[in-house]
Amino acid sequence: MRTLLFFSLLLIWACQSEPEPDFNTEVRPILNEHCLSCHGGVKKSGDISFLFREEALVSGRSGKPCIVPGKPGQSELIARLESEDPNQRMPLDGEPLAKEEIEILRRWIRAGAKWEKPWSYQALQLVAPPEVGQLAADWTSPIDAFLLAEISKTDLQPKPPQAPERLIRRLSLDLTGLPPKPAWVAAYRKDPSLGTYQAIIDSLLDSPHFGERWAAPWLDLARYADTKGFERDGHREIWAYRDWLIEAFNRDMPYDTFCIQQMAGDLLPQPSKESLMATAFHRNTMSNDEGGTLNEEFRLQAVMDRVNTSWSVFLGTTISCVQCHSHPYDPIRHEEYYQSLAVFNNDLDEDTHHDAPLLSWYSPEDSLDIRALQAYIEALPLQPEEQQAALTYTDEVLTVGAPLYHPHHFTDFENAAHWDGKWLLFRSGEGAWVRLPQVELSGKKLLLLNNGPSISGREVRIHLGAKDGPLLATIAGVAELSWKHQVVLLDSAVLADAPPLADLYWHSPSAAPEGEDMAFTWVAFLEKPFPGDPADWLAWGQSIVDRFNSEGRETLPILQAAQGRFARTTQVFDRGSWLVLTDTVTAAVPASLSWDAPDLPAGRLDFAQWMTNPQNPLTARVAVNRFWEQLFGRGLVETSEDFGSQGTPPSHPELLDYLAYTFMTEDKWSMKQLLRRLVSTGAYRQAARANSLDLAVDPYNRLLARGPRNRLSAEQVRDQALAVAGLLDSSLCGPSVMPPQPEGIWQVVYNGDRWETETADLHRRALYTYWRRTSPYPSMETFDSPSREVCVIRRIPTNTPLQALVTLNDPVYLEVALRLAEQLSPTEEAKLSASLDRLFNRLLFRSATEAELQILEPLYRTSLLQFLAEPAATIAYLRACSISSELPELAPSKAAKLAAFTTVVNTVLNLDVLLTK
Amino acid sequence: MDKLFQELEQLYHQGTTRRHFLRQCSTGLGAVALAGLSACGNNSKGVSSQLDQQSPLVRAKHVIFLHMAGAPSQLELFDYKPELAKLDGELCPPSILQGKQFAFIQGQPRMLGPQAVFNQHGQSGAWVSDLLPHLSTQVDEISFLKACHTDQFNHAPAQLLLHTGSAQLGRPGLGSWVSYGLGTENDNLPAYVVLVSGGAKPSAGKSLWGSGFLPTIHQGVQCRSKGDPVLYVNDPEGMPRDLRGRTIEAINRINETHYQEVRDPEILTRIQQYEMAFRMQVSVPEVMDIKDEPSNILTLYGAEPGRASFANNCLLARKLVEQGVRFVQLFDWGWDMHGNVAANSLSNAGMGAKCRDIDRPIAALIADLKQRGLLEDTLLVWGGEFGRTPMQENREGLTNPFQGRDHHTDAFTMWMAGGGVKPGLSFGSTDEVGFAGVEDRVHVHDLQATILHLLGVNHEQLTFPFQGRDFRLTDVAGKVIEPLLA
Repeated sequence: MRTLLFFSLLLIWACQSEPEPDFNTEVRPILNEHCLSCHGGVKKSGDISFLFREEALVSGRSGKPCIVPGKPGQSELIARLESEDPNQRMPLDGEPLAKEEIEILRRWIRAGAKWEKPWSYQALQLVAPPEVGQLAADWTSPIDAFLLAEISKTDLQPKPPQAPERLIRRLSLDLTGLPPKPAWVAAYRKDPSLGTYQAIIDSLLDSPHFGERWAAPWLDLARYADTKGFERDGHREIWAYRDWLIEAFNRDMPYDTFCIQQMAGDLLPQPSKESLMATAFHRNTMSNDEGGTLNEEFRLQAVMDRVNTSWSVFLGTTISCVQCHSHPYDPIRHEEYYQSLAVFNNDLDEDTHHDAPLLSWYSPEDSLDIRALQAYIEALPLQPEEQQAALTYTDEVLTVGAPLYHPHHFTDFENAAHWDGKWLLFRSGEGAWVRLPQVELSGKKLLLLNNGPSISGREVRIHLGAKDGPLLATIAGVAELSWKHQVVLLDSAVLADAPPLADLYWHSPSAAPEGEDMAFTWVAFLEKPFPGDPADWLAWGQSIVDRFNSEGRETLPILQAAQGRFARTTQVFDRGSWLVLTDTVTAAVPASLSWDAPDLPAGRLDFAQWMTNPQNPLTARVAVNRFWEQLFGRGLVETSEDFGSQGTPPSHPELLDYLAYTFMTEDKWSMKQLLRRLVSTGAYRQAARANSLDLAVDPYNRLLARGPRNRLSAEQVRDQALAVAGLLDSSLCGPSVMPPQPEGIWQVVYNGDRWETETADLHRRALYTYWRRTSPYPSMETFDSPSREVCVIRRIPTNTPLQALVTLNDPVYLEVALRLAEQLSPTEEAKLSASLDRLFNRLLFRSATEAELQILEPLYRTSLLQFLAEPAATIAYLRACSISSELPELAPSKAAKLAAFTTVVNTVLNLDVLLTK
Repeated sequence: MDKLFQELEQLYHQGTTRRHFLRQCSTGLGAVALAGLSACGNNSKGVSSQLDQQSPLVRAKHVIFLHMAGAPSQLELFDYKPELAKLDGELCPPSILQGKQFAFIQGQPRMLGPQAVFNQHGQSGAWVSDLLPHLSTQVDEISFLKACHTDQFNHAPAQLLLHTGSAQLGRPGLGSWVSYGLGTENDNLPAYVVLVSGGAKPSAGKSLWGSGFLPTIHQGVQCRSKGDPVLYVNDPEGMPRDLRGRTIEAINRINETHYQEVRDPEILTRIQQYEMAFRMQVSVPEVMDIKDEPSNILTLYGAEPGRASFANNCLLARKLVEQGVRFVQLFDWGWDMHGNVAANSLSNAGMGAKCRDIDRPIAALIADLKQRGLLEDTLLVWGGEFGRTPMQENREGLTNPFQGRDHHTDAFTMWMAGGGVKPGLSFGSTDEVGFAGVEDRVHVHDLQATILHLLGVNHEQLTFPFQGRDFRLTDVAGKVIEPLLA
């Protein structure tokens, strides 16, 4: 008895003393690896899932409770893991779990089987930097303290400071994407103090090229392209969004504002033109112009892409798999995907050919006419509020237009068609009819439309309610060979009796000559902005239409919320198929990421505010990680696209939280301030030299006991080359350009677009290059730029022979070599080493080393002999290197010298030190 | 330099390169895959090479995929339907159309009989129309899959589904998976080569041969029959070849000194890739040049040096697999015979002309591979992204001016030959008008599973971790077509 008591006590003592396993680091990995593929978000075999606690505590198909908190002995989970019956033992058909793993699960159940949110879902808190006795010289920032704490657990040693020319080159390429001014290198070499360094940082952050450099990776996230994608991949006028980005980075727009503007700038009170432009972020989704495609299918694809992109870019969460089933590993339920879908599913764009809704702005001449229209309204005898309303509505129609009825809204075609997926067509024979159902007519006075020519001047009559209903309006055919915007007056008497939502019957009564079909792109109904007689309204409408028809109108696709008749509800798609709709859902965020906020998302603006709320644990972490990745080559969370439980856990969790917290609070979401913090660290400023110990202990440089050493991005490879040769055109912004590319790259079906190089386009920065999704610019693609069909969070750098061929033989790089040779080629052989020094100074801000001279001088001499022996070939070679200008007349010996030095420059431009930073 | 490469090899084998985006994948394939990552030039083995390629069951080592972009009509080529001829001009029974979606057909279209004369050929008695007289002589080498079906009725998504296993963009294509899985046999050429004819790229563009989430070295390299065969492979005019050799040597020597200082393994890879580039400058133009082919071979294919033609591409495909290229993808654009204009119709000017473009070259390719003993380890696959309707297209409800057929997902014919495929087989059948498969239907995922199987790769095991899950070519479907295997 006594013995029994003793053992019981011992047991209780043992139970109390055993530590509770940590769910995220000990339990979840076991569940993810062995259980979730059958009992998770995708499959729920036996009606058991380990994704959510409540789904694991139930009795599944076996009838026995899977997990009984506190009682591992009664939990079927443990019994099945330990079963000796192969038909019972889990994982079925797999290796049994290790004893230690089962023991962890047993202890976890005994302690109550508590689920924890994944690490990235846990609240952000301020973390104090660790105490690290003696900081290395230069390692003075709190960031350095976090890093040193980890380094000091190994035998690794931080490296001495990077040589000035290398450090300042790295800094300049990192912050502006361009090589530094030589004066900065000289200044820092003279006084390598933190003060000098900070002054250089300031100059770089203030440079207008800062915005260009940081817009470039954001364009991958925004899946920016100058075309629409899919088969036809036609042109899309959306470059103004790229310029908005450059400006936002240059102005150091706080990151939370930056997010809100792009997600929901249109929903802010009285949005500015810039806020509207920002929403083009989500208009970079592809649209399908192929004939016969269903607008609704591709509209939904675009909306789903907005969901996936928003979650990936801002929240580091891969949500696309939740479209078909619950998340396989993270706590997001199937229906929660559709709650997110509902956030984005209520906008006016509908995969139409002309990309509506569009933001419009006008040339100075047009602006004068707009001013005249405003003056006319101001002169009307109106109450002040009426006047203001008229001015506001006029401005609204001119800038964002009115909700459009598209050809796919029409039904009941008789001798008419929805043609090629783009146009409403009245055929030439007699008696063409179509019906436009459910038109909002209350308050409407005018009909605005965009239509093609009708040489014979056919008219189209609109009847209210029925084919023999009263005549609401008559549209006269435009007998000019062009597409026009038109305005037509609606009959007030007929309107007076119209229901708020009416069916309109459109009729083209007269027969036109064979083949003369009449086409409409869209129609819209305008309200009356002011009282007065119909002639005034018509004059007002005509003035607006004249602006729409003007050559001076620029446009940009934007987001506009759908209201009234155009508003949508969202239903869950059964297993991801949009054709099988089930339960209706409203906008919300996943329960595992919500907190006690009064109103959770009802729309995009709420969603954006939820995202940037300091309580959101993901947004700031994801953002600082991205900047870290850009500078150090690898994020603190390496899988910058996935902060979920299948991503890699952070290498320095406290540092990540410290940075994220500081970014939100002290730095007030300033991206420039964050960058300043990062590039000021000792870790960033150290030499990028590995020793054997580094390579053995930390081959990927996660601990940063040596400086970062990364290949330049595709854009930077090109920009650097143009810059060092003095060729770079440093003008900012504007429409995308087409620098020379080889013949035959663009071979797109059903599309007459051509690649046409203009002289002014030759040497712009790479980010202005026209981006066609189906045929990206070849050299950029070779250097790992994505095609931007969907958002790409991380470019994986590769190292291929095709890259070597680009920098060796692409005419752009040959021209750079020739231009540098023209400036630096030695006039006599005695000056060769001086010329090489000047070359290295131009490219790398240092003289050539002895080893480099010993290799390059003989190369020069051999080439010179070869070129002297072949004068004709020499000229041909120089011509090949001079694509953008005529080669001047050259004496044979001079030509040979130039060719020989061009070859040497071409060699140096291909050095690894040039391609990395 | 040799010592450096030993060092590099050692680093690869320790798995200590930067390529750890593969993540430590639990299957252990990741470590093997590291070697395959430099698919060009590392005599690389892919992830599966050590698993399956030695298996006696593996027949195919190379694939030539002949994709007729735009989707040819099975009803004019291989799927003979005498009943359809009888119904020609009749209104299509509404019951057939119920619940079906078409790209252009609206309302009630009329049936359209076969626009070609069919005969049986060879020992196998395969039905082939008179549009393909040369191919008819090779039918005993071929296995026809008569009841293929797909999910997508627009070109770009259907092409994506056929090549990448998903109608959405961003997934690797079949050739990339094969390059990733099996690596390359020739250090001097890319593992995956794409050749395009017909005047345009296929609708889905380069996404069809992009590497998706696989490392970019697995993307298809488009070789062009005009201009540089690979972009920038030719040195500028007037530059002596040996001088290019010297410049690359200088680059590599300086890089080597730099490596001694900073010890970044990437530098070693770069040295190796510059050497590879130098070799490719010779090997690619050489293999892409057909000038020196004997005239009887040029005649056999109907190839003419210097032209961009399907015939030239067939001959190049043979040369490429002969040189050890793993996967050769041909796209021939222009098969979308709707009947809205003459060149786009089933007439002699449309379908007839396209058939003349491909008939002789494909027959020649089969014969030529066979006479060189290459057919048994080269798998040929032929087909379009979907089929065509037995009804005449009536775009927007009006009968088209020429005879043509709309896109159709429920039934089409593809064929395979060589590389471990049972020859002379006709597998699967469609109903009497050829609207839908009724027996032995084959989904495009099944086709993909079978192609991988013939290469010795299990389609369920060839995976890559991305966005939180292991992706594979066949998504969550695909069944190997067992009766097709020799």
